[in-house]
Amino acid sequence: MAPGTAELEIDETLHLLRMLMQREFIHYLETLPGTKELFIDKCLLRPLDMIATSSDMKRHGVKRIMHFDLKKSPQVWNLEIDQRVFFLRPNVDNARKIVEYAEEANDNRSICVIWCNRQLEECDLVFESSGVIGNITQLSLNMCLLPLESDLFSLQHVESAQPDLFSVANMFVALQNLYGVIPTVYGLGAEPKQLWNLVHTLCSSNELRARPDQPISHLFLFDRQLDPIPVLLTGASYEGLLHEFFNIDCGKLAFPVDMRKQVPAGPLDFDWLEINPEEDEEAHLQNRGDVVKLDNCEDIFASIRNKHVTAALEFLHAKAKSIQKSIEKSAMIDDVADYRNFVEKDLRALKKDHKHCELHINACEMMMNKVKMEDYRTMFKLEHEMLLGTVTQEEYFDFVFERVPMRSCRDIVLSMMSLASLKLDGVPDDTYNEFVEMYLQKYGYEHMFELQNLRCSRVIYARRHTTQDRTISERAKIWDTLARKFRIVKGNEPMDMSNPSDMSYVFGARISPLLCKIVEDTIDHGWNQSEYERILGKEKVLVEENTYIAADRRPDNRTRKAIMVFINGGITYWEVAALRLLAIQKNFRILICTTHIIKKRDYLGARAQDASSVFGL
Amino acid sequence: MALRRKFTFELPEDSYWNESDSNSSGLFDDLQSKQLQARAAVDNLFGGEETPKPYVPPQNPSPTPGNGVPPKIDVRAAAASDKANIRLTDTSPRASGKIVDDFLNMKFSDSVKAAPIMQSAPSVVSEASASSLPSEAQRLDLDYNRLRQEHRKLKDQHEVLRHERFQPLTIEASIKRMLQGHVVPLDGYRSLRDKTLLLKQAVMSYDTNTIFKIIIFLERTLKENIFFKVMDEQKSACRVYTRHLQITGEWEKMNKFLRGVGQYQHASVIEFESTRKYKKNPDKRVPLLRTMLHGSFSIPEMKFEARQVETLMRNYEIQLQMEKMDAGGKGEHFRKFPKTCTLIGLPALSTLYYSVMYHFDDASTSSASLPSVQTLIRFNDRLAMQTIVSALTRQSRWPDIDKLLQPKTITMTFSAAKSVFKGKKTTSKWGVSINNHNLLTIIRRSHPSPPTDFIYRILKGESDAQERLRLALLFDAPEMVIECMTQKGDRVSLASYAKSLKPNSVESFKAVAALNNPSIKWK
Repeated sequence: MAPGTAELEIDETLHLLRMLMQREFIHYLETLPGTKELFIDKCLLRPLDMIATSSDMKRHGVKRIMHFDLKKSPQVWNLEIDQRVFFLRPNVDNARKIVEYAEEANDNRSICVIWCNRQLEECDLVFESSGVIGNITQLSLNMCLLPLESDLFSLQHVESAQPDLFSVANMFVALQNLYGVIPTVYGLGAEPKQLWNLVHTLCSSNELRARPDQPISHLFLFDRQLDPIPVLLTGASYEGLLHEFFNIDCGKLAFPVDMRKQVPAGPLDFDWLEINPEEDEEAHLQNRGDVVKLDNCEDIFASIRNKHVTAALEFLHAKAKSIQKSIEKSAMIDDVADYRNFVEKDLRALKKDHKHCELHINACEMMMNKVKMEDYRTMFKLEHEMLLGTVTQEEYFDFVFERVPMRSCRDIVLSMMSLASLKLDGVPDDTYNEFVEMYLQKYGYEHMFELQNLRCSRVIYARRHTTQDRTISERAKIWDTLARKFRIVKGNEPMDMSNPSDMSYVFGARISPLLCKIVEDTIDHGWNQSEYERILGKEKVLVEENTYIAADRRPDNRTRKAIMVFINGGITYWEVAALRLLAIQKNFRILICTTHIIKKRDYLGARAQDASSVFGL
Repeated sequence: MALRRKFTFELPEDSYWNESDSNSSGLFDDLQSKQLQARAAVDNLFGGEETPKPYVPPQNPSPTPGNGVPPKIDVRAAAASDKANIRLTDTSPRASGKIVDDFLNMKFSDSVKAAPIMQSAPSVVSEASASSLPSEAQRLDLDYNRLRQEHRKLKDQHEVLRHERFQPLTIEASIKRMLQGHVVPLDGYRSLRDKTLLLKQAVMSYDTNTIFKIIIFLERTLKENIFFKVMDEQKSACRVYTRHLQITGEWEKMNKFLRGVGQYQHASVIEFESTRKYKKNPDKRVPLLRTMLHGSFSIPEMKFEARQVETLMRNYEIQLQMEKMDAGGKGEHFRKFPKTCTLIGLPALSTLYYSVMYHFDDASTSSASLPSVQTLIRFNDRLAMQTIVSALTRQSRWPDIDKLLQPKTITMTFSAAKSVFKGKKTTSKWGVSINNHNLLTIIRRSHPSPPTDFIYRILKGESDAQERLRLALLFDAPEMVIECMTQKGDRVSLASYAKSLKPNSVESFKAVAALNNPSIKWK
C-alpha cells in the first residue's frame, strides 16, 4: 500500500470539493427565508446524505424532509411551513410535477427548486408554458466527486446515453480551482477531448494556477465507448457481483430478506402473463432487508470486496471458523474476571463479525447458486472463446437462443449478443434476423423500437448494417486493435485466485479490462502518443502538459502524488478491483473517478430507450 | 430606464441639442477664424506635429481599467474626444501661456496612457475658463464649446449604448455567455447565416443545454423545411432535438423531423412505436398498422420489419378469436388455472402458451388449437418447443411431454417438413434442440415439485457421465447422484454426499446401502 502520510493528505484534500458543495447547499437553505419542507429526488437521497446531515438541515429551518414522489399528488400545505424546497434532477417529468405544486401554492407560500447539477432550458420551457416561471425560485448545485471510498469517487450521474459533459467539466474546474492545475492530462476517445475543451472554455475567465502541492500528478480521461466489454461481461470480484445482483447504491446495499432460499423468487420464466415492471419493482422493494453500509470500515467486507468470489468464500468460511473457535474458547474461561473482560471487550466485536460473516456467506452462496442455475460457467467459456476468436459461432448462438425465452436471462441474451456484435463487427445477417424474430415473439412486437435503438447505438447490429454505414464498425476496429496491442484476452492460464498476479483475475484470469491496461502501460512505459494517434486518429487523443516534465515520461511514484483515472460514462466494479490491484502492484495511489458506477442492465436499458441514437455517437 | 430617458434626444426639450450641432449660429461665426488663428499659433509653437484632428470615433478601443460603468468603451471614447476638444476650446490667443501648460499636461497624460483621471472633461474646461478671466464674448464662446463638447460626449455614449442594446453580441460571445449561464437575447440574429452559425457554434461548445436553447430558437423562427435543412448539417443538434421530442412524447413531430433529415427507416420504427398506446386496443391499432404497411413500411429496407408487423396483426387476429371463444371462462382448465387477465396485446409466444394451456386437447380444426396457431404464426422451433414443454409441465402432463420429446411427433414434423421444404436446415437438429440442462431448468421453473422419476429419466438420457452428475447435483436428484458416484467408484464423494442427505430418508438408506455393497469396485 502507499505510505500513510500521503494517503492522509489526499483524503483530506479532496474533501474540499465536498465541503464546497455542502457550504453551497447550506447557503441556499439560509438564503431562503422561513420554515422549510424539503423534498428530495429518490436518486439524490444517498448522495445528499454524504453532503449534509439532517441535523444540519434542521438547524437551517428545514422542518420536514420527504421523498419527492412523481406518483403522489401534492399534499396540502402545512400551516407552519413557509417554503417548499425541492432538491431534484433536472428533467421534464420533475418539472411537470413541480408545476402541480406551484399551482397549489398561494401568494404567501413560495417554492424553490435546487437543481442538481444545473438548471435546464427544458424545465424552464415547462414552467414558462404553464405560466409559473416567475413563482418559482430556481437554483442549481453542481454535484462534486462524492467519495464512495478513499480511492473511489463518483459524480452519481444517472445512466444515460447522452452524457452530461457540462457538469463534469464544471467539476474539473472546481477541482483545479481548489488544488491547482493538474500537471499532465491524457485523454482517449472523442468525449474526453470535448470535455477538456469545455473545461478550458469555462476556465477562460479565471486563469488557473499551478500549485506545487497539487495532490494529483496525472489525469487519465477515458471514454466508456472505447471499451464496453467490461460492462457486458460478468466478472468475479465480490463487490462487483453484489452490485450486479443486488445493486449497491452510493456505497450502501439493502440485501434481500429471503437470501437463504434456494431458488430466487420472481415471476416465472415461462408464462403467458405479462410482467408488470412496476409490480416487480414493488415486490423487490418489499423483499429488501436492512441497509448495510459497505466500506473499508468494516473489516470483513474490506478484506473480501476485491477478492475473486471463490477466494472470498474461502476466506469467509475460515473466518467463520475462527469466530466460532473464539466463542468456544470463551466457554472454557473459568476465571470470572477474565470472563467479564471477554464480555466487555471481545464479545461484541465477535458478535458483529459473526453477523457480517453470515450475511456475506449467504450472499455468496445465493450468487453462486444463481450462477450455477443459469449455467454461467458455459457462458463464461463461450464469452471468452468469442473474444479469443476460437468459438464456433453455432455453439455460441445456440446457447444465446436457448435463453431468449427465459425471462430471467434477458440481460444475458442482450449482453452476449452485443459482445458478439462488437467482436465479429456485426453478427451474421440470418443470425440477427432469427434473434430479432425470437425476441419479438417472446417480449412483444413493441420491442422493435428497442432493438432498433440498440442497433443505432451500435450495441447489437448485423453485418449488413456495417455495409450500409461504414462508421459503425469504427469502434469495433479500434477496440480490436487496442485489444491485440495490449494482449487483453489470454488463453487459459492458471492463476491463484486468492493471490492474483494480474488484473485479469477479475474476469477469471482470461480477460483484462482495456482501460486499466492502458493505465498500466503508461505507468510502465510512458504515454505512447504516436501509437494512439495512429490507432484512434488525431482528434481522439488528448495530451496536455502543464508542467516542465514531458508528457511521455512515465509517472514516478517517488513524488508521492496520485494518479487520477476518470472514466466518463461509468465504471464497473470489475475495473475498480483491477485498478486497486494495479495500485498495490505499482505502489501508486490511484484515485478512481467516474460519472457513476455502471451496471449491465442499466447500460443496455438506457441505450434501448434512446431514440436519438440514430444520429450517431 | 432613467438613463435611457436622459439620452433620448427625440424629446422636445432635448431637441436643442440635435439642432445646435449641425449649424453654427451667426453670432459665433468669426470665432472659428479666431480659433484657427490660435491653433496656428500653437502649431508654430510646437512645430506643427500636434495638429488637432477632427474627432473620429475610436475604432477599436481597449477597455481602460478602473471604470466601473458597464459600457467601458464609451467612457474611453468620450475621454478621447475630450482630449481633442479641450485643445480647441482653450486656444484663445491671449491665454496661450495657459494653453501651453495645459497642452504639456495633455502630452503628459497622453504618454501615461492608462490614467483614469480624464473622466470629467467639463470640469477641466471650466477650470480653464475661470482662471483666464475672459470677456463676455469669450465666455459665451467657451460656454458654447463646452456644451457642444458635452453634447458630443453624450451622443457618443448614447451611440455605444444603443449599439449594445440593439445590435446583437457576436455569436461567439453569445454562446460563451450562455455557457456561463447568463440570459442572452437571441432576437437580434435574424439572418439565416447568423442562425446557422449560431447552431454551429453551439454544437462546438459540446453543451447540450446550450445546443437545445439554440434549437428551440431556430424552431420557433424558421419555417419547417429550412429548420430541417439547417439541422441536417449538425448531427449532435439532431440528437439533442430528437431526445427532447422523445421526452416530451411528441412522436408525430419526431416522425416528421426524422423524415425531414432523411432518416426514413428510423422514422418508420418511430411511427410504429407511436401506436404502442393502443397495445390493448387492436380495433384502433390494426387499421393504423395496415396503413403503415402500405406506407412507410413498404420501402425495401423495411421488408424484414414489415414481416414482423404482419405477424403482429395475425397475432391480434388469433387473440381476438380466443378471447371470444373463452369469454365465459368455463371449463376444467379454467377452474384449475384461473385466467386473470386478457390475452389481447400480449406477445406471440404468450398466445402459444395460452393455446397449450387451455386448448391443448382441442381438435386441430379449432382455431385456438396448437397446430392452427402454429400455421398462422411461424414460430422459431426452439422457442416454441421450450414454451410448449413449460406449459405442459405446469399442468403436470408428463406423458404429453414425453411424447413431445420423442423426435418426429406430429407438431414437430409439421414445422420440420416446412423447413426441409425451404431447404434451410436439416431435421436432425431437432433431437438436440433442447439440451438437458435447459430442459431441467424449464421443468424446475415451471412446476413446484416435478416427479423424481421423470427427472431421473431425463438424466438417464444424458450421455456424458460428468455432465449427468453435475446436473443431478444441481437439480437435486439424489438417486441419480448415488448412481453416478457408484458408477464412477468415487467412494469418498459418495460418503460425504450421504452425510449431507436427510438422515433416515429413503435416499440416505440407498446411499448407505451402496456404500456397504461389496460388489461395487471402489477406486
